[in-house]
Formats: sequence, C-alpha cells, structure tokens
Amino acid sequence: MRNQSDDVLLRMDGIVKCYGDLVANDNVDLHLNAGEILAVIGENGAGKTTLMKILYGLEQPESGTIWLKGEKIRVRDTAHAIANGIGMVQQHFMLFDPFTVTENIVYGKEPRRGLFFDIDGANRMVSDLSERYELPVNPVARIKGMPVGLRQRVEILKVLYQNAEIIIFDEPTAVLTPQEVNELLKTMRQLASNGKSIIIVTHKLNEVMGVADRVMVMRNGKLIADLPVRDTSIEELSFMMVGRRLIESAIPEIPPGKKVLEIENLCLNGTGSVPILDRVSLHVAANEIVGIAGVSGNGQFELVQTILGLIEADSGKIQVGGQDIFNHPVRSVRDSGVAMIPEDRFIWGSAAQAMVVETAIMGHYRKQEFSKKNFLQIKKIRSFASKIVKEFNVKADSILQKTGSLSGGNAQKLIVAREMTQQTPLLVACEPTRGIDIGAINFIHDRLIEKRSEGAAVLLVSSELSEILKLSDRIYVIYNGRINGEFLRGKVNEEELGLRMVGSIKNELQ
Amino acid sequence: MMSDANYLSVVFNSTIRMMTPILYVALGSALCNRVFIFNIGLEGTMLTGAFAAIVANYYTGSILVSLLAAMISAMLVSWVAGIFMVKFKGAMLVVGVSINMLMAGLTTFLMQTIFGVKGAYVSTDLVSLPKVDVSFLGRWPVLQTMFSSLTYLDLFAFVLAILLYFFLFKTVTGFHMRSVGINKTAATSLGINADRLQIGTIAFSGIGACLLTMGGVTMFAQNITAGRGFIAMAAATLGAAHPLGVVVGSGFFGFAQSMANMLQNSAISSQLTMALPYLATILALAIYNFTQHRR
Amino acid sequence: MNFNKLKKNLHFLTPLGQPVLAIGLALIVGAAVIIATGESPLKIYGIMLKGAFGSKYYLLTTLTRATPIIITGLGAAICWSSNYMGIGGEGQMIMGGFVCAVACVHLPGPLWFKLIAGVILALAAGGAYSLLSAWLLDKFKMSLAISTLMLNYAGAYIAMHFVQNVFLDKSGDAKLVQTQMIDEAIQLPRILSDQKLHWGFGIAVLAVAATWFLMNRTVFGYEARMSGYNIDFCNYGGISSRKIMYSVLILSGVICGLAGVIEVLGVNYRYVHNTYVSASYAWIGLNAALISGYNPIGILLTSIILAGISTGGAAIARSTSVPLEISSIIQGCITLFISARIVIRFRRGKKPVPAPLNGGSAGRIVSDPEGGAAV
Repeated sequence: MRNQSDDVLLRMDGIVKCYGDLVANDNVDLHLNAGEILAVIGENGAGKTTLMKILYGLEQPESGTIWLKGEKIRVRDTAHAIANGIGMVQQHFMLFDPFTVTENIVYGKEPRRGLFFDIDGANRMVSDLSERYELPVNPVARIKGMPVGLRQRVEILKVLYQNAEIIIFDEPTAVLTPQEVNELLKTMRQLASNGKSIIIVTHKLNEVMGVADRVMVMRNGKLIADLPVRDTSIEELSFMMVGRRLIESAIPEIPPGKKVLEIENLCLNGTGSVPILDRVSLHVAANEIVGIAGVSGNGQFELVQTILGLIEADSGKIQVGGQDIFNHPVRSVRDSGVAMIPEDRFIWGSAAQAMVVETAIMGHYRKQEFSKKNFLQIKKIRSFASKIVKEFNVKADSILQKTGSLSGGNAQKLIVAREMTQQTPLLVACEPTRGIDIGAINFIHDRLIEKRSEGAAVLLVSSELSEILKLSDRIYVIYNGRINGEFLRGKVNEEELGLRMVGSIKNELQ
Repeated sequence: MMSDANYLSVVFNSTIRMMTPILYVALGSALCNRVFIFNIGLEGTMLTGAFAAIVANYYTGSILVSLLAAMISAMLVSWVAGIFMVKFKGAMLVVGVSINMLMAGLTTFLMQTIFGVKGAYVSTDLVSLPKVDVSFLGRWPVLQTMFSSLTYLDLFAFVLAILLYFFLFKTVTGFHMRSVGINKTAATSLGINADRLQIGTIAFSGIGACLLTMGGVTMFAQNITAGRGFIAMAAATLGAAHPLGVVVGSGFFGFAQSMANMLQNSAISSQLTMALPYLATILALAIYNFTQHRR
Repeated sequence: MNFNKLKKNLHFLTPLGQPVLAIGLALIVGAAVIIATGESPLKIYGIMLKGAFGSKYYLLTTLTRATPIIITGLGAAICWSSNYMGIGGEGQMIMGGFVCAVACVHLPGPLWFKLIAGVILALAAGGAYSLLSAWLLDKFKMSLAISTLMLNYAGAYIAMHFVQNVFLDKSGDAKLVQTQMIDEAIQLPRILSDQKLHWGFGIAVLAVAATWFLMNRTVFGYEARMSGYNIDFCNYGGISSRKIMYSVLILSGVICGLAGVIEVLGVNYRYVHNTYVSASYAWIGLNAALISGYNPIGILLTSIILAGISTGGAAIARSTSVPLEISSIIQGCITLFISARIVIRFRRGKKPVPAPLNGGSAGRIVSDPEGGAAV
C-alpha cells in the first residue's frame, strides 16, 4: 500500500489557464506519487489536456505552482520538461515515417562518434532499452507502414530514452485495437513496477479501471473528484464525468414524417488498424431531429463527411429522399437536398479572406436566384446576404468585410444561416454551437427547432451531450465507429447513454 | 578523323566542364530541397558569386581572394533570401523571383559603374584558375583527353558531392536537416530550431553558387548564368535531392549542353539540342513521379 | 477631431498600404545605390519621373511598354489567385507571338483570314502550352514551378529553331533571328499617328475590364478565387478543384499568348528571337500581379508604374552615369518587400486577415515533397 504523503513526486497547485473568455483550468490541483498510475478523466473540453500541456511546458498557466520532488519549478518549454524527467506520449505521434525506429527514438539526443551520428551505438541502446522494459521493437525497421500499436511503442521508448520519471499518456487507446489496448495496459503496469509514474488522460473508463491506482475527474475546467479506483465504480465515474443533467427537452412533439436520410451498413476502413466506421445504419425522418451522441474521435465527423461526399466510403448505402448519394461528388449530394453545418467554421465552413457575402453563397451560388448562365446576380446575392446577416443577427460592419474578421460566434451564425436558408429536406448540423457564447447557442437551437417544424430532417452531431438531449427526437450513440445504442425522446436513460458513450456498455449484437 | 574512343573522350571532357558549375549549384539546391525550401533565387545568387569573383580578381589578381569574395557575397545574398522566406514567411517563389531580378539588376549596374562597360567585361588581366596537370597520363591519350584542362574546382565538385553525402546521411546535423524536410512541425516540437536550420541551409546553398566564373571563364556578362541556376534546380530535383543522384542529374545536363555545342555545325539543329535538357527534365521527372506514386 | 471616424473612413486604403510601403522602401534602397555612385537620388528620381511620364512622348512610350506587362500580369493573376503558382508566362507569350507571326505570314488565304486564324491559333498555342503543365501537375504531381520554368526555356529554343531553320527572314540583318514582317494591313494601328502607342494598349485595358468581370461577376471567377482562399471550403461547397486547376491554367496561358500576339501585331510586326525574354515582360507582369494582390485594376496601375520605372531608368542611363538597371533593382526590391507582407493597418483592434500570398508553407510550389525532400 502506497503512502500518499511520503513520496509525492509531483504536485500542481491552483492551476488557472484561460483562453480568451474560456476558463480551461479553474484552480486545478493534482498530485502524483512515485510508481503510481493516475488517470485523469473527463469529457472533451473538460480541461484535462490543457492541464497536461501545462505540465509538459506546451502552455503557460495564468497562475498556480508546480512542485517537483519538493522543488518549485516553472516548466518553460518541452525541452525543460524533458530535462526534469517529464515525458509525454502524444495522441498524435511525432514520428518521422521515412526514418528507422532507432532514429526516431534517439532524435534530439543522438549519440555521436567523432563527427558522425553513431547509429550502431544508438541501435544497441534501443535494443537494450527495448529488452529492459520488455517492449520488443526492431531498431532498424522503418516507421512507414507500421501498425499504430507499434508506433505507440516507439513513442514510449522515446520517452524512456529521455529518462522520463513521469510519463504522460494523452488518450493512448483512442486509435488502438482491443488487443493493442491490452498490450498497452500491460506495458503501463510494467513501467509502474519499474518505478515510473504514469498519468493517463482519457475518457475511456473501463480501461482506466483495469490499470489505474487513482482517478481524477474533471469537468468544465474544474476538478470534480480525486479518489482511489478501488473506492469507485464505472457508473459513479461516468456520472461525475458527464454530470447529472436535468435538461428538459425543448421541442414540441411532432410525429415524424417520411424517412429522408437512410444509411445502411456504411463502412469506412481508413488507414489505421481499426475501421473508422463499422456497419453504421441509421435513418432520419422529416420533422425529426436525430442526435448522434459520442465522445469526439469516435467516427462521427467522418460519418458526416461521408454523407456529404467529401470522403469515399468503402461499402454501404446512403440515400436521401430515396435517391442514392453513396460516394457521389459533393455538388450532386448538395443538389439532392443536403445542407451541412460543418464541424469547423474556418476550415470547412468559410474562408478567412473571403468577404461575408462570398461566404454566404458557398454551396448554392449556382441556384437560379444567384446566377444566370454562369453570371453572378450581384444585386440579388448582396440583398440575400444582407437579409441573412440581419435575420441571424450576424454582427458585421458590412457584408463586404472579410469573414476572418468576424468573431467566432458571428462567423458560425453566418454559416448556420447559409445552410439553413437552403430549404433542403435534410440538414446535417455538425457541432453547430462549439465555442460560441450562450446567446448565440440559444439562437441557433431555436433555429434548428424551427427548421424541424418546417418539415426538414435534421441530423445533429455534437459532443455536447446537453445539446443532444435538449434538441433530439431520437438519439444514436456512436462508439468506436459503431452505432452503440438508439434512444427515443422521453425514454432516454441518461445513465445508460453515458455508459454507452464511453463504451462501458456495448451493443449485444456486436 | 577522330576515332570513336577519342570522340567519346572529348565529349566526356566537355561534359565535365559543362556540368561542374551546375553541380555546385545543384548540390546547394538539393540541400534546400532537403529542408523543404524551394530556392528559385539560386539563379540570382549564382550571378552574384560570378560577379564578385570577377571584381575581386580585377582588384587583387588573387584566385584565393576572388574565391572567398564570391563565396561570401553569394552566401550573404542567399542568407537574405532565407530570412525573407523563413523569418518573414514570404512565399518562396516570390522571394526567389525578386532576388533574381534584384541581383540581375545590381550586378549589371555595378559592372557599369565599376568597369564602365555595358553588356560584358572581358580582360586579359584576369587570372584564371590553374588547370590540373594530367601529363602523367601521357601514356593513355584517351584518359589524357578526358581529364585535360580541368581545374581543381572541377574535380572538387565531385569530392564535395561525396562529402555532402556523408554530411547529410551520417552526421547528426544532416539527420536533423532531413527531419525538418520531412516534418518541420514535428522537428520543432521535438526541440530542433528548424527555422535556423532552414536559413542556414539556404545561406550555405549560396556558397556553391559562386564558382561559375572561376573556371575557364574569366569574364562577366549581363545575365551570364543564362538560366543555369534554374537548370541546377532541375538537376537537383532529377537527382532526388541525393548528393550522388545530383551528380548524375548534373551530368545529364552537362552532357546535353556539350552535345549542343558539338552539334553546332552539324545537320542536327543546335537549338533543338539546347531545348532537349529541359524537355528531358520534364520527362525524367514525370517518369520518376510516376514510379513513386505507383509504389 | 474624431480619430476613430477618420480611421474608419480610411479603411478602403488598407489594401493599398502594403504596395505603397513596399514601393517606398524599394525607392529608399534604390536611393542608397544611387548615392553609392555619387549621384543625388532626388535628381535621379526627378529625371526618372520625367523620363517616364514627363511628356506626351515619354508617357506614351511607357504605356506601350506597359501593354505586355499588363496582359501577362492578368494571366499570372488568374492562376496565382487560385493558388496555382505557375511561372510559365514567358514561354506562353513566346508561343503566342511565334505562332501568330508565322500564321499571319504563311497561312494561305486572304489577309483577314490570316489575321483571325493567326490570332486564334496563337491563343490556342499559349493555352495548350499551359495545359501541358496543368496535365503534368494533375497526372504526375509535377511541381508547376519546375514544369513551367523548363517549358519557358524549351519554348524559347524550339521557337528559335523554327525561326532559324524554317521561317527565317533572310532580307534583313543576318544576325537577327526573326520571321518575315506581317502585311501592313493587319498590323495594329497606332492610337496617335506620330507615336508608338498602338491599339494593343486599348486591348489590354479591355482585358483588364474583362478579367475583373470574369473574376468578380461570374461563377467561374467566384470558384477560382475561393479555391485560392481555402481549398477545403471549396470541396465542402461542391467545387471541383481539378476542373478549376485546368481552367485557370489554360486561361492564363491564353492570356499570356495574347501578350505575344499584341507584341507581334503592334510593336515588332514579326517574331524576333529573345525580345520577350530580354525585356522580362512576363516576369515584370508577374511582379505587377503580386504587388497589386491580383486585382486587375491594380495590375493596370502597377504595370504602368513598373513600365515607368523601366523607361525612366532608360532616361537616366541616357543623361547620367547611373545605369538603367537601377530599375530592376527597384522592381526586385518592391516584390521582395511585398513578399514579407509588411502590412499597414488603418484600423486597430481587429486581427489582420492574412494576405493572399502563400506564406512559409510550401503549398503547391515546392517540387514534389516525396521526390524532392523526403526520399
């Protein structure tokens, strides 16, 4: 049994970090004992990654102190973190594909012989390291073409090569197959028994239960709980993580109409070792808002991109109003009656250098009202843009100003306005309110409800569970690229919803 | 009547002499490609070096001083280009085009103010590089022809290619350079000063661009490079930015140019022969990219 | 005095800030070079201004010189504003000029037919030459910069080959590699009978208007500009980026071909080897496009200024000891400073919108990263 007070290795006290108005870390405390495995869990945007970035020197906190082995330190940058024995296995691997395993592991701290890079020595060191921690790798193999699990092992070895005492794992299981996950959990125990201290940042609860000694729950930038794993349960943790939301459904009851969107057995393999979408089947009817609940990174964004034709799927069927749109080009999908609010307003939704009026007609500038025989009807376009800017309260000085000079909320309202005024039978709304203020959120919600009562089918994808619960007639849970449960409005079992989102309950069928 | 062996040895000799100025610049361009820099300004850099060499030669009459002057001035111009490309994040093509126009103007401008001539400056006072004495090959006339009237700089180009190969693939700095070319973001996040490496590489790539007028040519003319900076870039691309591949790429251009010269008075159109290397580059790159993307 | 209001009223000047600042800095560099030669910059710049715009003759000479710069500038602007950074204007201009000159002399039939067929063939040649680069990019992922550059040189030599060996005008100076002169009846008339300026300048101004209309008032122009801003945004909006790539590159080739046609019909009345290359028309045109941020009306003004710097440079060379290359020095500096995106902001408090140039990232210009950088 470990004694908490004696061997506190690391302590973070009262960490505060803000991004603009958003408080990402609100007075968060963390402590870590030597040889301990600590899990930091929370939803996306709960602030757990920010906290780790501060510890690893990627971000500087507004206030708060970090104590390492009883000494107060300020982690200036990653190099400084590494020098202090803090290493991080990032979610997105920082590996050079054309280089070998050894070259990647020793990168930045290469052994030299005279003028030259001592590659033989490096290979030997990597072999030793790999044996000592029982992490088998072939030092001279190239990264290119390696499975994700092996790449992660290289990342772990890299951290060990840098002599890290504290190893942070950021969402380490997100991209792994179940077998690879088991391997990784074994590795973590191995490392802990070798005296390393480990912090796992994750939202996958059942994995945490198997390996962690202690768990910290974060929500909305605050520390909610810090307790030993043996004193808690998956059920309790999932409620702490998601919160007890007593949200009344905001929508009046309308019986759903004809099916508008039908998806059957949609598969997208991707390049990793797990498929991104695995036999997804769902439908959305007229007068219906259907929510897709899921922790982000479980395939929901790929799903909507596949619907719009931005990604080619491997197999399956997608129909809109009875018309096949599977793997059709975007223009033809849009012509069949699909509008989409994209997940990222400045990547997909607009161009920063385009004028507001130019952003306002993307996707439907070919319509009769906006262009005749390939000539733009500038007057009509401008009056349309002015109209939607007014109707949707977009705060802009002029419709001729650059979209990039609008605030995030106003740019989002502009995009929402554009997609909603398209009068399409299907609207796909992907994170329609991410990162905008509460007034704008309510405004967009009202519009979505209005759209539904006008007879449109709405597919709502959001990592904000409260939004899904407030607006949806029906909810699908997506987990690891699979539909993991379906709920009707009013019959939502929140507890089960939360557990299915984090994969603690899986569809019996699969 | 020349024998076939003789004829070939003459072609070989002329190919070498044509290719070495290209090779020096192409090696610099290859290094730039390795750190993900497309330095079209090498044409202007090359003009700078060529001009500085002649000026230093004129004033001092010392080969060594001219060589140093050429290297330093070319490096400075390249360094400025690097600052604009990396620090100020200027579009590489735009910076390169500007450097070319600026240096084409500046060298001709200075030629007129310093030497008071327009078009070209030729003087018998200028010292040219000593030729490597190959009389010890006298017993093998074919070999002697192959290596006659070459300068040490011509020979050093090949040594440099080998040295750069070792630098790029066997040293830690070379290793870091290649990593920056593969993924600058990753390299930066792993604690490498990628900006400094890129600027340094661009500056260094200028050094090679200085040797044009040092060999047989002891003159400077307006736009004397005649697009050879661009050819060098093509040769570097053709050689897959590998120092030894670049030797082959430059050799190809040297060969095409020497053939063009030799065919000047024959039935085959010399203009078409001059066009050939450019078209061949396109063809070779197409084949190369085709096989790369098939894999 | 309400400063904020003043700032707001000056808002429309923001796009001018960068070019004006860059030109200012370039003139300072030029002044330093002039001082180094022992002359007074003010005096030299005075002569330059006079030599460029100071009299009817000088002004019209400047405008004549500006004509091919304007047109190649428009050609460059069309593909660069869509983020396809081709530098093949020179080769395309050569193709246009060469084909036009040959067709207008050697095609059978009446003169009007020679003219019309010659112009159409020439424009097609410019477009086809650019299409070749587009195809190489599409099929082989070959960098536009490399392919267009190679085709510039190849084009110059191929045209030279045909002029020298097939279409050579043997009546004139034996040293000149040039085709026969076209019939006087199909030459572009001069605007004023005693001056060089020809109606090609009028065509260039029309081309400016047409390009402005195309880019700002048509579906094609909208799609092309949006592709330059954000390719993901376009994919999401249903724009086929491949189609845009082909169309902007072909169109830009056709326009550069037009520059060659006008030089043949309005200035030389024949194709003369090396004239376009030595005058750097296409490169200066590209500079004009860059300085004006691809705005056609800006290109018109900038081209006239750049042409003025060249003719002004010639005036300096005639009357002082300062060589005419002072003009290339100034021109090179302007674009160098433009590339660094030195932005003046008339309004504070708003984050600046990035300029349209593709900055530090390699974008499409770097030679194939697999082949060039990472093997």
